Amino acid sequence: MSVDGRSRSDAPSGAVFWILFALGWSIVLYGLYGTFDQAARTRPHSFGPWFIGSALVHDMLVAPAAIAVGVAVVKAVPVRIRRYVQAGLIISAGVIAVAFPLLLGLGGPAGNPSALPHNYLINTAVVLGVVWSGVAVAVVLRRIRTN
Amino acid sequence: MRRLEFLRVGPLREGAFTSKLHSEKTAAIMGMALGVSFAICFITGLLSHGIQNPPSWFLWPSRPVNLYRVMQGLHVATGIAAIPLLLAKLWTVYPRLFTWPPVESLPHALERLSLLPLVGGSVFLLVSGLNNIALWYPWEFFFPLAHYWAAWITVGAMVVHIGAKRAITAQVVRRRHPDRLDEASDGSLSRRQFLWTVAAGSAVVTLATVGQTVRPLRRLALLAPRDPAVGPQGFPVNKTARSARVTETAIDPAWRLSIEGAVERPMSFSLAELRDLQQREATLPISCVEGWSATVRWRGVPVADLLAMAGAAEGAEVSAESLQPSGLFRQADLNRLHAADPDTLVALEVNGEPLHIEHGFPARLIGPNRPGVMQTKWLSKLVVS
Repeated sequence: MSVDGRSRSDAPSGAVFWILFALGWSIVLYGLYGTFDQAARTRPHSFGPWFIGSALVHDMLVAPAAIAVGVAVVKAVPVRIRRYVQAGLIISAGVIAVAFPLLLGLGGPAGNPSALPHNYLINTAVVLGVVWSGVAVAVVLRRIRTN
Repeated sequence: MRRLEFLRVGPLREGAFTSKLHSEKTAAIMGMALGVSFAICFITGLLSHGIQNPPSWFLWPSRPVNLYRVMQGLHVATGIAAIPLLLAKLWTVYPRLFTWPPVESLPHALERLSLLPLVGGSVFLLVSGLNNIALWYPWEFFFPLAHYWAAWITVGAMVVHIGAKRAITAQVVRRRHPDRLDEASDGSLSRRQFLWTVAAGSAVVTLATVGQTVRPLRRLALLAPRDPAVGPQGFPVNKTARSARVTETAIDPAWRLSIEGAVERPMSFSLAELRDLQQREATLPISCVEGWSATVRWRGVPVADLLAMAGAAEGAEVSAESLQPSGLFRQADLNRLHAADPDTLVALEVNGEPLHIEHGFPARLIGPNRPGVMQTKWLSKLVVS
């Protein structure tokens, strides 16, 4: 990446970097110490894979999928509505990410009707419907204004 | 490094990522917003952890009544709002994962290594927190503790990241950068439009969930795991009587509440005897650690009155114990401020009715400015120390 097209070294440097590096890693090590100190409840054999897996699943599945969708939009969506579709997709991605564990429907203790009281499939569809209605309105308004 | 050039394929190619939104300025602005969000989550999370596991020097006050409710609502709402933000930030900087050469120098290598706890931790915190409020536990660890230690690891990595990026962030944010320079000629979002879109994404997920604690927005909370008006007697339940295994003991007519420990006169009361004592009303929230809350009207006997009757010393602390035979939350401590607060009640009624068994019949603890898990249901004893 570059500022105004000039490429530049990525390497950090300076006293402040090293001070914050030492402080930051001390905090990281404190976190690791606590994790292993309370291993009976933090269960590192489960916590570790979830922690590392979070980075791997994001970097190997979620991000490439987002990039692929972005490329497809640029290829397939007409220029004049492209940014609206991009905005709709970005907001929808956030909604789906937040709704994801609810949509799977695997959570919640049996016999507690006050937990997870909604039909989350329908509700997610409603929220996405509102988002895309907003996108449609923006497209129409834009057309009226440019005509 | 030149010998390795042949490895430079796919995403490692020069110009493999074409969107102008993969820019330092976009990353810097979202990075600052994420820094603020994570700081809010970290501080509120540390406090909540401290309230539930108080070190000897930490005395959590019983006032203001709604402090814990606001704090924990903010913790969960900020975490949810950070989800679109984190996804957008990681998308923006994704090309850097394929930086060529992969390692330039020792500081560069160390800085890149520090991204593993940063990215893993950030995603883990938001995913595990979200799963927790959706009551879905597809893992073996105890969520609060893993979430707590992961927060330290992540915040440490964030400090390293701030050290590495503070200069470039200050530089690109200060630079006046006419928006049209970033305007894509192919009809794609400009940088400013992209940032506003991400903000709109955070706003949408917030509006769709925050009604679980901000009651006027309850009808909008289509994606909230709780509705503050849904449950027995009009508010939600976390632990059910069945899962606490108290369905028989809670309705046993021989039930008594005992006051014991460091008191002059150990006492015990039947439900009828508690009802005969001077009652007090208090409007207090149940504020769940999972971010929902519901404020209702309670009626019962102040704990302070019971302590005075039993002859407990001034400044006594109390351990409230449940009929629940086992489990981490079968017992909760009242520090001296909570034990002495006149609104800390052994509640017998809610909204003018005897407590539903799901809300802790025959008697539950309720007090101001406390996490829901420390408002012990199905009380059996108050042990004074």
